[in-house]
Amino acid sequence: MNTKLKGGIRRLKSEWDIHLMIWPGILLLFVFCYLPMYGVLIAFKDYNLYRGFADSPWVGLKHFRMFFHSPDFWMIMRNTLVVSLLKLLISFPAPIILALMLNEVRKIAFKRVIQTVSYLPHFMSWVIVGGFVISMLSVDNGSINILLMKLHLIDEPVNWLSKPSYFWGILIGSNVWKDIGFSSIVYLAAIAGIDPHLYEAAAMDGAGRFRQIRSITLPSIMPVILIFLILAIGNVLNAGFEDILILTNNGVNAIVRDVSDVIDTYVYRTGIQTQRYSYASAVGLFKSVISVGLLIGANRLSRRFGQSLW
Amino acid sequence: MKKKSKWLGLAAVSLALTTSLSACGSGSGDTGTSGDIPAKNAASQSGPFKLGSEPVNFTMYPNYDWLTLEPWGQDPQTQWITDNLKVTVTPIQSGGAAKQKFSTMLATDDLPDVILMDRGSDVEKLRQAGKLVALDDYYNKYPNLKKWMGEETINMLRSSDGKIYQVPNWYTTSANGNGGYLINRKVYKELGSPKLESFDDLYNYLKQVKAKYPDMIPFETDIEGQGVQIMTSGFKEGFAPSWIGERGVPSGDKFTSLFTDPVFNETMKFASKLFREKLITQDTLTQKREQVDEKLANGRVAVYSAYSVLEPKVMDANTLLRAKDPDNGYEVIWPLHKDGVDKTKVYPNSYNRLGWNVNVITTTAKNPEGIFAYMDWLTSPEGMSTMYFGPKGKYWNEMDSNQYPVLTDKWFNTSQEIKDKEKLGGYAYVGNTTYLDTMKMANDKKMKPEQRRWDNTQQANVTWKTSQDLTPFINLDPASDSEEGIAKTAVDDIYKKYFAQALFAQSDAEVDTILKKANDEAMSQGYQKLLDYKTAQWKKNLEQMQAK
Repeated sequence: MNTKLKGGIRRLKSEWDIHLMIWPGILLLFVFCYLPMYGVLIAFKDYNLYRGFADSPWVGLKHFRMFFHSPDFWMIMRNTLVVSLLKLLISFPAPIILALMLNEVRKIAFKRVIQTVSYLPHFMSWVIVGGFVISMLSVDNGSINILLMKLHLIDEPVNWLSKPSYFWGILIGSNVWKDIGFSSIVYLAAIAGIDPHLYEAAAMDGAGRFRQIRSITLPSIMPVILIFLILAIGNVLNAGFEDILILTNNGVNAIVRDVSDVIDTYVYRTGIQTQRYSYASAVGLFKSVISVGLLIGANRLSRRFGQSLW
Repeated sequence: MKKKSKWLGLAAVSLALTTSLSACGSGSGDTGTSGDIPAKNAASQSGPFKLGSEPVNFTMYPNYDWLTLEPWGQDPQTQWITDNLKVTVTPIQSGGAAKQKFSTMLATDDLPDVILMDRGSDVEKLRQAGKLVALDDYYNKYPNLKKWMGEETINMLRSSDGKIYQVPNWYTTSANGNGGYLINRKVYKELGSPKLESFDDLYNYLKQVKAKYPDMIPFETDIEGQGVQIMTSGFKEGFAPSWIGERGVPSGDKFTSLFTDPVFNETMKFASKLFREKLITQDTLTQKREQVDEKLANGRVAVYSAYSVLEPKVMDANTLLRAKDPDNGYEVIWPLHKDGVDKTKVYPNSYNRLGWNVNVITTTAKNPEGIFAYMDWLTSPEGMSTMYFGPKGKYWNEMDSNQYPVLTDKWFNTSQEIKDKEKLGGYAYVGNTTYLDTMKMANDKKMKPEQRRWDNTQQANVTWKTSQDLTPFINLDPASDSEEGIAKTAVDDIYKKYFAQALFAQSDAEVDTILKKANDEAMSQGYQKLLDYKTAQWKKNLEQMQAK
């Protein structure tokens, strides 16, 4: 123990300059990430902006109780889980499939074009994408309705955005469209790192295209997929915020609220917009605790398969 | 090796220094804005503050997402004010996130000198926190606000401690408003100009439109179903569409539930029928303003109803359509009504004497009296004329006996485009509605018909005549973190949801079920407490209006 400590000090002395380089980083992390965390305490207070943090009274778990007893609680939890599971089920594998498909494209120029075109939407903000979606799906002058009418597939325009049954489809669809290209970049990079000899050997053994994907490409990029899966599971309670808010016209299109309201939109509407910061923090804290739990659980599970974040 | 590590150490030290310095940087810096005023004693001086005697610089923050102040001194009016009155306003912008900005300013105790904001709980909270300057002495010392506002309005603005902290914007003693119904003149004429007075007439007319013009939107309600709300005014004499926003209806001597109100019920049934038969735009809850503007500009709307049918974009659309075809364009019609309702008592519009919102002067201000003196000047005929017609000598040289500026030929010969560039009307944030409106109408009368502004004519003919005074019903909203406030948030949510459902309902019976469900749910969230609060406030307003 003593010698270990001595050795440590000696190393610190000889490498002081290198240590000095990490200290600013740690300091910044502490000041900007950990120090502000005391603010979480307002979840247990009746925080009043005009009285300030110190003078606001402690109220214990009042805000948590209020949230759990709110008539919308189960609806919000259901929507949050359904929307994120749908995202996990569809938005998560979609870029992997795109990457696999792009990998099989022979013509480099074509591949480049597809790649560029598919990842461009990622750089557009949700406000713009939402604007597209809303105007395309409108009843008056919406291009989708006009197209379907011209093809005689429907007799009169469909009110896409106001039918609760379509909402999840539209939400997931626009999410996939926006992010599929960008998310596939990581997988394409992983695929590019696979030793080509493996494919040659497999081809010699008579493996076809699909067999090669199944037996070589997928296993090789599995570590990357798993890491992203763990992160995605940690995000299960982040069902989305901007996308939902914009597609429901900032909540005005309340006809779909029963399927569109998730934790974050609820917090925004009832907490932030009405300056009930304590309530908003309580719900946010609840969400974070569950998310951390899920993340740890998923990581444990995947450690069994020999992959984990830490 | 040794040499290299020395360099590395030096680099590390400088890196550490710069990062830590930049981290601290944001804390210091801008503390105040108006450093050069030795003003504290100005407030205690006995004589009125003379504008121009010393510079008055202050910061102003409008607490609205959508309101961006123009830079000061970039147009003839504000330039003239700085040169002659030595007043300089430094705008502070909300950047589209007013609530967050306001909260941040409070939390850091870094308030601007003047805030333009809605009356009500936020003002009250600022007052309770001791952040506002009481203006009673100033109101007595300076002539204009007192004269134009009138004693009753001043009383209404008093806080619960009996003092007055607010300077109103667009206060008035005469009716105004821009809400109602517009019709497409061309379509109306082509369909043989049928009688269009009652809701039955409307229904038949809309059906005709739909049959003959499949690409047209028979009834455009603007965003959030505004047109539906306007229709409530026609189902009962004196019913104000603003009860919907109030989420309660005054009936007898107290506020009652909106969801059980017969007028609201009947309106929703009618609207739902129109919606079902696709006579109302199906996008009313999803569309953006721009989509509405586009439909109007392309003449694809037969009847249009909204809280303001005289917005600049609507005027543009009207000008555009009339330029192509003089028979086209839009016109405001007398508000529609149910059979049996007296049409002279249908009021889609309302106004209150206090106007739109208020300016408050915070304790941060170095020279509150100077600021007040400027506001008092701004609301005077001279101030208003300067703001709306440029400084004296630009478009006017003298005032007539009514204190209206006599506009020169230059005013009439200058195109609207150039006037728009001069930002006329910007910074008129102590708006004196009565003066400006009567002046506008007086000027309009002197003009030839083709010189008259379309919107002024519509206002004079219809919208101002169909407006009622709702001054006793101001400030009915509780603070958002109070028990009633939390109930209000819940009721707002419930309203939005069930309004949408009722509009989409398939039958009258379904509307009944939906509204009943809305009422039950609202009551379980403390709706009654909210209604009681509103009743109490209303009573208090009535008392205050009579008080001296």
